[in-house]
Amino acid sequence: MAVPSNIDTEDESSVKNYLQSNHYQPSALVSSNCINNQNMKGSPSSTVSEPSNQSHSTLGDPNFVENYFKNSRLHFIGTWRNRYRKRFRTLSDGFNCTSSNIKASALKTAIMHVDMDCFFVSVVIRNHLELRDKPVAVCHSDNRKGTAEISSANYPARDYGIKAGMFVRDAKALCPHLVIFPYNFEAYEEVADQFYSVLHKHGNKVQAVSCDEAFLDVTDSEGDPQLLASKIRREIFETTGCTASAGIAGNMLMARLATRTAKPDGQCYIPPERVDDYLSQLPIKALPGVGYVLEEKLKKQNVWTCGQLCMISKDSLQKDFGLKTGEMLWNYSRGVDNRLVGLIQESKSVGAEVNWGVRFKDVKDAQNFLSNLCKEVSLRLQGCGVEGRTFTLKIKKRRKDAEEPTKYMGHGDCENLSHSTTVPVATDDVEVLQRITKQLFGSFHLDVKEIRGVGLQVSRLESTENSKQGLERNSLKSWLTSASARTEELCKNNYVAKESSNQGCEGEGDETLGQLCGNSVGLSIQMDSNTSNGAACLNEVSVPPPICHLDMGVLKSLPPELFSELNEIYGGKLVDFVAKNKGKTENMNHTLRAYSHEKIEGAMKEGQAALLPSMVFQNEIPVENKAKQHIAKEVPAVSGAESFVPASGLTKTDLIPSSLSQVDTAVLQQLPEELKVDILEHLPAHRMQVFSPNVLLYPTEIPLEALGTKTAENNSGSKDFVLDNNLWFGTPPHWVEKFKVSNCLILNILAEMYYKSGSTGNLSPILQCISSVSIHQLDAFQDGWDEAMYILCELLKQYIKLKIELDIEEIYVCFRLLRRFAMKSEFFIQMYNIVYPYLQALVGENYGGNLHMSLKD
Amino acid sequence: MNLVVQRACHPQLRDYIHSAVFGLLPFIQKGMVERAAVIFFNTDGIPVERFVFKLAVNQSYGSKVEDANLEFSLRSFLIKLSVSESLTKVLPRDYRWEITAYFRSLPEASANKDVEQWIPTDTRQWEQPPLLTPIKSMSSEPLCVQLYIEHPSLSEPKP
Repeated sequence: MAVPSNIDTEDESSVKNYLQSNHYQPSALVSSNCINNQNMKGSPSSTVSEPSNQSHSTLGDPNFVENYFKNSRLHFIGTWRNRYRKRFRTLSDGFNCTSSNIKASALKTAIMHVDMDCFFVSVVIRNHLELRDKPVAVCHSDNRKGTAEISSANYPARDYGIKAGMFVRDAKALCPHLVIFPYNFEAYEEVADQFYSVLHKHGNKVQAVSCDEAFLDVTDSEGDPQLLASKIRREIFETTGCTASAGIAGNMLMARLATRTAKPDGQCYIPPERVDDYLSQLPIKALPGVGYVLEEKLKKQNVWTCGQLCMISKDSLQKDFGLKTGEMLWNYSRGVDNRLVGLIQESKSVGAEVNWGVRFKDVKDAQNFLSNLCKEVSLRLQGCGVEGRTFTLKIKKRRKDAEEPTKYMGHGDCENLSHSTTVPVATDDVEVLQRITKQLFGSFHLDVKEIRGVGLQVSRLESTENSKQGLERNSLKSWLTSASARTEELCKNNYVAKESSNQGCEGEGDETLGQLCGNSVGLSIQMDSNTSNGAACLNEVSVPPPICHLDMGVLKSLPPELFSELNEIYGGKLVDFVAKNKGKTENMNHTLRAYSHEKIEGAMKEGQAALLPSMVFQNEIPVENKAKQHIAKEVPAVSGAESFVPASGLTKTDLIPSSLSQVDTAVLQQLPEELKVDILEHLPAHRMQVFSPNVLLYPTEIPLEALGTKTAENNSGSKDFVLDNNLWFGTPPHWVEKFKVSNCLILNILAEMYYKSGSTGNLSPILQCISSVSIHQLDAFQDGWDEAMYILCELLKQYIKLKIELDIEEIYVCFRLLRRFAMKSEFFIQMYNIVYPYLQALVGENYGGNLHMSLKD
Repeated sequence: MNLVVQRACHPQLRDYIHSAVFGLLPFIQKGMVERAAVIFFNTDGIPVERFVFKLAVNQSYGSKVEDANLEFSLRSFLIKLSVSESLTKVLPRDYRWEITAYFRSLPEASANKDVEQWIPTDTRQWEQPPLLTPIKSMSSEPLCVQLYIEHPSLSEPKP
């Protein structure tokens, strides 16, 4: 097939008429008369006015990227491999296992190379028999003066000197009556599939090279390979209407070279004894793997044919061209090729590149484009079932004195810039890609008007299935997203259940409600034990949640008819419950207002499953969601929910890292901004002690009250000024006063140190003073350890935030000192561990790196 | 300033450094330069050590600059720098260095003759976020300068 071999560097063909549907008449050379009048027509010269070019570039077409790839032949070829693998997966996989042990050298092997003739053209004219002997080529444009490239030309056209990659205007110059056909990607896919079906019928050992070219290992097939080749070729023609050529030889190299001789519509067999003869006069550039650069280098050494190449020693070749290339050249010049048919090359990278029609007016244009490009790449990654860790952004930037490109909307004379970055966790997520790409793009500091091409490549690929089994499952992000999936599912289930219960009587209602609970069993561990211990009254297999687990706020805000329905289900006990708990909720609400209500509410409204409410709330979900379905306004449910959340949330250590000290820094840094900020703000510095999950199980305890008061105690003094973020404001800073009057020994000491160290507003002198106090004695006090820990961590965090932008030295000194203290004190170890992720996260944000803390003290 | 500093012996090198930095001055004054770094890199163009000056110039500072304060801060800066040798690595002889400036927004090409000396760099970047060791941070209105060293992260792939 006449496709340029260096696909990556070749320009994309012009998509001048991509907006137009395919209405070409074979005999009429239609160049104008298009459907959309936004395309300029007639005979455009190179000085076409700007406005009418709008639609052919990123300037005019908002969907440029998407349309570009739809019409791109390179895209078709590049992504073909993946489609093939999907279709023929079992066959190709199964084959690999068996053949890997067999060395090709021992037996007399027979390899066949089958290659369809001028694929793109053959396919489009297979139903136009009259054009068989006329010169035909495939191209996007049929313009006499166009700079679209010919991608494939049939043999009559090649006789005129027309070659793939030529501008259509040059081709027309060589052959004025050349017939141009547009691409037909659907047909190509269909024919490629048929081609491979034929091949697979004749043997399992098929190695696909391209959509129209493949190797077969026919060593084990019966009969003469040459006869087999004719048979296959005939079948291909009968099925597809297109001809194919075949080469047969002892190895892949020779088979491929044989096809060259065989074309068009022929086959050629090179027996072992004729190999040397065949090669001696063969020009070196015919060898696969020898491109323009290698050819030039060899020509400089006066090597033009394989025969001449034979005369150079292997050592010398390896010295000049490297170990692998040298060996390859030495082997190939002798017709030696040890490659096995069928070894699948996994892609090392996935990406997308656009080098045509790229013109940006301003940064916003460029950002949109990048965004779309990321979408494309993300789709491709997902299509291949891989995720990547290294992202490379390539940009073609117009050279300073370059003229307008010869090719319409081409990239012209450019310099190639490339920046890349690697992340610790492989991803295929479009938002992550967009963020990274934005960063990379920013690092170029370019004038967007100079950009003529952009490409994004993802490498260090990992298979998606594998990664899901490993770390991903335990990472915060996947856990959060899976929680949202579950609640959505549950909502759907609830909705269905409600529908049926609308029609049914109470008995039915019970069952469906039970069904709800049944569904939620999988989600909540506690639910299980509840149904076995607790909610006594119901004898049925599936039961509604025990009354004590119902959320007051939700219950109170239910519409009366729903409430009475629920009440019936609970046998009238609901009313009592509500009345009983009226008193307690006040207490709860008071202590828990510390947590940011808007944040939680906002999160729920947006349907994020992120944060505390929904994920912790497993055993309340059935009721809550049920209520949600019925209530037109969300607000009452939400406000009810949030008052319950924090206390219970903090106890369930298995659902979320219960404190910042448990958070994995690498994961945290990968999270999107909002999530990171929320986690940092909502997670307590450390685990609250005492509360065991069992507390919630037994209705008799009234755990809510206990929780309520305990948290009140912990937060009473501290919550106001902590939340106001002003510990460091004022002279002396506010924390000094608080610490002085606190009942914690360590806080008193700190306050004292403030004055002793000279009352500067900085923390480092204070810490330096502390080092004179014997640190390990501080551990002796047990009183108010938790409170002190919490406050001090807050203090440090606020300090970091304050100083991070302008005084990183200060922060560094403080933490070096803290680390030194941590060597001697339990208390400081804990404090250091808690604040450390926060510190590195902020340093990362502001300085693009991490503080180097592991120097010897 | 009553301070001992080191400078290059070779006159052309001195001029080079001086003119390069001086050429940045107008941009620093306008607050366009975010960071300036002295980067040491090996023969493959991969950096091994970077001394980064992070700059912040308060554009809206209207009052008179306090000379004494600024001098004091800068002096502390230079003193710390001269004793930071232990933080750096010993580099082989064939390594090279360059001064790179990071702009918040690109300057107009024609504005200043000096800026023409500055060209886009193609020194490669590290793949992993680097390790930072702060040397000195000083802030004296309107100027805030922080100096820190960057070394490649331990998980940086070896070339």
